[in-house]
Amino acid sequence: MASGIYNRFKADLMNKVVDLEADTINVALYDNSHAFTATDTTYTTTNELATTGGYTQGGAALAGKAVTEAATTYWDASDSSWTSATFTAYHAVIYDNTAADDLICSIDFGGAQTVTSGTFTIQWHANGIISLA
Amino acid sequence: MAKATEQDKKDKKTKETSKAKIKFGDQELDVDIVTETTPNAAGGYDTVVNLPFCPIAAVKNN
Repeated sequence: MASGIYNRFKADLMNKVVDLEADTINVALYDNSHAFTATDTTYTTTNELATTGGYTQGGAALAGKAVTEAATTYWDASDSSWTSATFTAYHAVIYDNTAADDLICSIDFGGAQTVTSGTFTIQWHANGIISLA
Repeated sequence: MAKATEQDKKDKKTKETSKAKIKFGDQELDVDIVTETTPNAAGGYDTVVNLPFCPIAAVKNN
């Protein structure tokens, strides 16, 4: 298992299809049957967590999206969270809801991440979700 | 160290590190993902998953 950027996102950048600040960008959670495949193109409910236990299929929209221009330019957003949650997730997939659900990246949690009757938070890295050097 | 159980997480704060990989072009980089849990008033626990950034392949000047 691994994390990575989908080929579709690289093409979408070059073709001016995605706007990481203005578009509605969602993060969805997946089970252990999900595997990152760079050639996948669009969001799917296959292997996504079911709509139960505080999670709704389709995932949550990212808030506070911002691109910071520098030698290493990065894209960041506010941390994502699900409240009143009871579930187990293994992966997060980020996709562009505005751009026909095109995939952006898949993130491997390194194993099962559980929450019980609580808040599940993904704390994005201080250097952003994606960087371009 | 033994992995925290569901009951451990309901009883006390836990902090665990998981190993994962990030694809970077043709390479795979090893990264650590840190997960912290905190018991809550509902009898369960809150979870924070601290993620590494997800790099895109570096731009090449050919």
